[in-house]
Amino acid sequence: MNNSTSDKITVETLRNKIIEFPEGLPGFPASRAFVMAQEPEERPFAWMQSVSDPKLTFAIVDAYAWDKDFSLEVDDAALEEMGSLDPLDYAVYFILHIQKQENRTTLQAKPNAPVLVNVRNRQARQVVVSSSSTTEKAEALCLQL
Amino acid sequence: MLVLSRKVGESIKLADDIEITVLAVDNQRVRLGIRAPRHIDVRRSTPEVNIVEANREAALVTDPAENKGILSKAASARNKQG
Repeated sequence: MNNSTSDKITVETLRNKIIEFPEGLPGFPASRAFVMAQEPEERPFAWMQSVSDPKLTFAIVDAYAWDKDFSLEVDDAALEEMGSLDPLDYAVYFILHIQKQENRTTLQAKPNAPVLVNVRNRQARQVVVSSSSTTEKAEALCLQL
Repeated sequence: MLVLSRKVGESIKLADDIEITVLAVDNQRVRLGIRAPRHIDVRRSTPEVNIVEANREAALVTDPAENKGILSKAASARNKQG
């Protein structure tokens, strides 16, 4: 899946919409539905907020915006289960690990487990990517505030 | 657990349609080739556990108001970096 989904499509179609993880989000099996919340000035970042537990939130970033060279190989069987084999139907996000220290905040992507969302039916799934130079690069791109 | 020894290039078969071949052995790392029908979901067991840990580590279990502003700051910091 090398085609990058344009940021515009992703944002316009998913903003404030509910996405569903039919198998639950690993580690949070009770949370299957999440709202993609994003203010325009937050692009390409967004919040993924659990519908059943409003206090559970993840910060995410469009994978291709975080690392323009990022590419992802996903098994066709997995894509088929999500309802489309067309790479252009998918938005790809990294979950961010936010660390607040005394006077700075660090954001680091988790590129080994990107979240795939079929923007047409809003089915989501977290996939495992084996470590590669691409994922290492994406992980090394740290943002400090 | 059934334990078998195989040399490089040798394989084992599971049922009629799954074949696992030892491709290479290098120090502590073994490369395996897996031939299986498409409906068989092949997973590595360790990363699976790691996703759970990574998600728990990344989860923000707080009032959303506490995180307000972080991502707009991140977006503008990123734009400055180019």
